[in-house]
Amino acid sequence: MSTDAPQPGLAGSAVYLVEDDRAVRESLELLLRLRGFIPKGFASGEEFLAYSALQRPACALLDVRLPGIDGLELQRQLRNKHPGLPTIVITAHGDVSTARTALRDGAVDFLEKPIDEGDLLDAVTTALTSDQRIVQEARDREELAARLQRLTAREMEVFERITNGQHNREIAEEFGISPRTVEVHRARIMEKLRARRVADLFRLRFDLERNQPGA
Amino acid sequence: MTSHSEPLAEPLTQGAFGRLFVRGAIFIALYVLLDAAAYTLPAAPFAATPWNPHPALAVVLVIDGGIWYAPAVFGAVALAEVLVREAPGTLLGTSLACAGMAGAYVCAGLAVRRYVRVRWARAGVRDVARFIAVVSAGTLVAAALYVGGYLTDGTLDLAEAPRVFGHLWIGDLLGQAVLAPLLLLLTQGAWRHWRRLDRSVRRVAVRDTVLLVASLAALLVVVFGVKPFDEFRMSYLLFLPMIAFALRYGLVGAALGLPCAQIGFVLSLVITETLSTSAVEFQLLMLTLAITTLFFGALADERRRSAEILASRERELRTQQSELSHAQRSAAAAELAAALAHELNQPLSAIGTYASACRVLARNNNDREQLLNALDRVAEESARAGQFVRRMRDFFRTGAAHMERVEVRELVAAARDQVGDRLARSRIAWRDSIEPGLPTLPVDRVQIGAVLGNLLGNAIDALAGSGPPRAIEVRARRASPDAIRIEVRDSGPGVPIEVRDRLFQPMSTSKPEGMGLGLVISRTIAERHGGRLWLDTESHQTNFCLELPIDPVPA
Repeated sequence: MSTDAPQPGLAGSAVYLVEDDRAVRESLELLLRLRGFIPKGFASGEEFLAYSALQRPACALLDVRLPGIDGLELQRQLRNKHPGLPTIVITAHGDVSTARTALRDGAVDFLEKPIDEGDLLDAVTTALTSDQRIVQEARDREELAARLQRLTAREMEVFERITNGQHNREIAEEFGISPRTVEVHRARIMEKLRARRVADLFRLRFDLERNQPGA
Repeated sequence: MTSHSEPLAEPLTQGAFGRLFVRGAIFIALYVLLDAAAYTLPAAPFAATPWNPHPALAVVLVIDGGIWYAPAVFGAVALAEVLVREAPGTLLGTSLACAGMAGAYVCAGLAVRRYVRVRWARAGVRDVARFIAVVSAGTLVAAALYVGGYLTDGTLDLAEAPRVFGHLWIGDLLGQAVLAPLLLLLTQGAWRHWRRLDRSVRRVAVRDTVLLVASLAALLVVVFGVKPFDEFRMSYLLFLPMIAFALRYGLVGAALGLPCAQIGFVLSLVITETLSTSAVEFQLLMLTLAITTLFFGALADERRRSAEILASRERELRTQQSELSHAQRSAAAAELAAALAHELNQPLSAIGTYASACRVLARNNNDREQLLNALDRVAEESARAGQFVRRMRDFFRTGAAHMERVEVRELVAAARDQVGDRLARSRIAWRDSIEPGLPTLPVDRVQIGAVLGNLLGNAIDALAGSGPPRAIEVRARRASPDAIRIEVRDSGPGVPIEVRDRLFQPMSTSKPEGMGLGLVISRTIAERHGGRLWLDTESHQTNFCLELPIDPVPA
């Protein structure tokens, strides 16, 4: 999948590159930049961990052989510092056990030096797509939470019952209000949650429960 | 006794019956003829000759053919008794004597067949001992039954019986010891083996046999003709050529030599007419000679076989060793290749990526500047890879080095700089003492730097396990008018004795990581410089010595 331009939506994504060999690092930076990404190189794992301006969606290309902490250790530390950040590990030629460890620890892919351009772009595309989804989901979750914040307590109760599949009449009986009032609540809920149809409410409830298990 | 589990006889197949008949008939004829020949020289009025070769025929026939030949043995014994000795007793006495004797021969043959390894290519001292034991017992029983048979009808006087029995037994036994080995050899196709031998080997064997016969004859002339002492008291001289021949040719030699000695001996006795007076002395002497010669022959065979086994083991061992060292070399080469591959991988990887970038840039005319820039970088990386390859090639193949005169102090300081961080981190004290006024050394600065760096690295590794105070000392002095010695000594526990011998061999590293090639390469470098690198075994601490010549070695 060696295309000239990244898939729409991936252009402009950040690719962080940790590689101690200057020539290898700079060549990868040049190529990634030409392919429409925004690469940023680091000469050691410590430098990358100290970097605070990380932007998402992004992915990290880590060379295994590094001075100081090595690529695999760096990969483990990144999991805490930047949860979900997809990593691609660059191994020395034929180092199967390292590759296996990297994949077990959650690497999206591993690349062997000399790095094949097609493999590189495939791996970066996969990693960025994955991170895009992760970022989008997080954003959706936040937005949904913000919208739900705007409901009153009674509206929240009505929302739960509607999405439990109860009819207006049943809800009215339960709360001792008229079905007409339930209709009003429903209209307010639809407006606040920006739902156009009742089916949208069900989807929101579904998303809510998926994102907050046990809630 | 262990059994060789030979059956009493191989099952008879069709056609084998005819062979059995023919061989049986030939055997009977030979048996009677031999008996008659021996009987022309009777040692006493009664039928007892100094040696009886024919029982050996009977026993060997049974050893070779099994129980199927029992009838032939019975027939031969009876026929010989009638034809040669004219059946001295009654029908009953003669029948009993013959049946007893023939039965004992058959049993002896079957016992040998079962308990003795008679293949001459494999027989040893133990087999000779078993063979002699079995035929001693067999001939004893045969003589006893024969004498007993003639005692029943009064042909033999009881008073005469012990003497006749003794004569008969020893005579039979002597015949077995002298003739059976040769007969066994013939039944085992020794002749075919002889024909397969190399012509020169055969010529030597014939020469030796002629020598044996000649020396036996000469000795017999001395013993019986010159007669420095009475009777044949000098006969022990016969042992010398016989033992020599047996030692040279083993059991085959003994089997060939014994009949020669026997025939010579008997002829001498007959010619000098000493036979009747000293038959017993002759029998005992000849028996001792036969048994001694057979044992020496078996001993020689065993020794030769074990020497062959030893030699083949040694060959195997050498092959294994050479395979091992080959494997070691391949392993070292594989490690080296892996290290080289890693070094080359970086520039190659950069080149590949720049090339991909160039392809993108080349499609866009606006990026000309960037394209040229990237191409420059490709060239740079290519040069970097090339430099590395050249350095390696110089180092491993041509040995080409950039020789320049360098101060010793400078070499030591550069080496120290290489490991400066590690010294500080491991809190290792550094001392160097460089004799003032040392001349410069003609060296490749990089290579000798690598050697010293390697020695210092080893010293730091060695100190890792030992407690403070940790110190490394480097000393340089003039070792001789034309050489300077640099010593690297650490305060660690020293190199274990068992490691010392393998120190300069590839793959002998005691470190979990590492190529185990450092000292090997270092020594190669030292030698390319016309110098030496060794471990000072006098010192109880680790002390590596690098000695380099002051005058450049001619290229």
